[in-house]
Amino acid sequence: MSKVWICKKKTADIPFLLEEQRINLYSFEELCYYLYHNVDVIEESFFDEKLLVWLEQELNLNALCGKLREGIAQGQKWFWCMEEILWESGYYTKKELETVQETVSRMIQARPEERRKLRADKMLLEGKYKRAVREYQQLLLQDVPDRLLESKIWHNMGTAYARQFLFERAAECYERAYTMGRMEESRQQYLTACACAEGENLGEEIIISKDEKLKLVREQEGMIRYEAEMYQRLEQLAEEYMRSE
Amino acid sequence: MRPEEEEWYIGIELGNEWTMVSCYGAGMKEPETKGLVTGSQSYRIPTAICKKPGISQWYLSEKPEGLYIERLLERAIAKEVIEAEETYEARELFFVFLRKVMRMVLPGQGIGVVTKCVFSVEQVDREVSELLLEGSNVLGMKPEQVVIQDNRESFYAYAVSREPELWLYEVALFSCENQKVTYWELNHDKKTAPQVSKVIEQQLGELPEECSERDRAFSKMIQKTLSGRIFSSVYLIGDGFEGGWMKESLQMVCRGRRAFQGKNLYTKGACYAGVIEAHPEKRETVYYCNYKTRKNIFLRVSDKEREYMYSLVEAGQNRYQVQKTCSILLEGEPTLDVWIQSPGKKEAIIESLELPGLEPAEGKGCRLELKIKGNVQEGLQLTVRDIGLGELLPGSNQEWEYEIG
Repeated sequence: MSKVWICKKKTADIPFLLEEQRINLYSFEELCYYLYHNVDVIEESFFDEKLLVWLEQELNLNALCGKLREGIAQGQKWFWCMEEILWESGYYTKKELETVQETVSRMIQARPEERRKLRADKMLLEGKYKRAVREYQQLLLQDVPDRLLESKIWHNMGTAYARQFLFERAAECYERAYTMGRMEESRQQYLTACACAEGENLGEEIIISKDEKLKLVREQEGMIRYEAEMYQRLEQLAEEYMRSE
Repeated sequence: MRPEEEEWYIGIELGNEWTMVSCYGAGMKEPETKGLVTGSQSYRIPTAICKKPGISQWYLSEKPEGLYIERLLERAIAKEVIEAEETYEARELFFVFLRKVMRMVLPGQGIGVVTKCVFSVEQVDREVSELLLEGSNVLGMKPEQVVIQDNRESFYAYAVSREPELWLYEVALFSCENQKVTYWELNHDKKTAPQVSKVIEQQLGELPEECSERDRAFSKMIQKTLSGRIFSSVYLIGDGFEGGWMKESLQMVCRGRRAFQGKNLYTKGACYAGVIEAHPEKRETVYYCNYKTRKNIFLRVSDKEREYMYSLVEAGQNRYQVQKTCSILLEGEPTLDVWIQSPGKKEAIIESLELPGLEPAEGKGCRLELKIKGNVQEGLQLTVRDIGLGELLPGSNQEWEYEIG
């Protein structure tokens, strides 16, 4: 069984630009899709006069805009605007909107740096590695009070570098992450990044690793298996890189 | 039904030889037919334009003069090329003709305020519909302002716009041109609401030239078609009924029924048809014929917590004018369920249209464009295209075509 919704007829002549993602929105259903699937990263500043003017002038949603302006004037918050937009579209049931409300509640309680990290994580998941790295760097320039959170930021930045085949930088990030958070995954990724960095150099000349930790792992776990995993990981990274921005 | 405040209707009877035009606005008792000569009872405008040699201005004329290009409708349909000092497409000249005819009946505010412009032709088919839709567009009309129908439908609209007692039972029309008599009978199926009306045609043959013989022959035709049945009214139209030769036949026509004679029934009927089209909620009857869509076609769509039936096509539309486009979001299986219902019946048939190759994205990320056109014999063509969600989720642009209805 399939379900069907009728889309609004009007398409915008002038699109609404999502500045961070550099994506243009041309219709109400595109806006609703974006809101519904990015609840955890949308900021209050998204629901500004620029959005309302676009809804009014480009999509002729005058009644909705009137309602939103009235609500804002009465002190309603940004998440109320989002819920009103999603509900008025008709595309979502009450149950689906409850899921949105739960996510919103979580996000309201989260700290600004946690919300910003989630935005950067989303870019990472979408294959926007360079932008993700910039976001993580911006975050780390600020004072992150939570050490565990900071280690996770370093870890994910390492992943963003690794997916760009910048293994040496990735290894540095993973090492910082492990130092701070002592997460086993950070340690493993650090070793993999080192191996990949070394593996890239094998074509030029054979370099015997002087890294004591890597030597220990090789001795303990068996060199052949380790290098097979390394090449498998390299192939996976190559595929992901081809799909990225 | 009368035009409401600020409404304006135009009815154009278009023939190969001549054309008639009427207008109908708020406050008018009935549609007013315009001729080339003010105050004249001759409303026929030759479907032709002419110009003086050496001068590029075209004009309408009651009789051939100058460079005279006649029978423009059939020549435009045939896509002829015409030599008249320069080379012209017949289509272009036909649109010039249409513009000049329209100017005779346009309101002061221009074509934008015309509620409906109804073209009444002898026979509706794809070629004439496409020509008239193109012409309307050239004249600055939107598709929703234009209605294309045949003269039978104009007769129907004229009849049902009169006093109710004049169409309570069957209504007859005799048309006589060049001695040939055509008979139309309008009847209503009173078992449905709204009543379904149809016009049946019969060719009755030719009338003799001699007046008394003609009178007798026509009396026999009337006897054959009308006797033993109840008719509320009878219309006699065409040049063939002029000259005062009807004696016995006229008595027979008027026996127990109202009879009317006229020349501009179709053009007035076209105006009435425009009013009916603009106010479907007020009509008591619905007209059906071979160029009308026969079924109501719906989609079952969701809106928040409820579901409702969204109309794609209504029964009773001119199939050649059907051009519906909409976009939908699809979630779940790659199939589209289309509901097809005969008018007046509660039950509907569900046609499940498979969309092979479509992988509907989750979370309402699959957007499809639906286009319905009436360019298939007896049916409608539905084209479905995966258009995606803009830059967020580009679509594959894959298309699927179906014949429905």
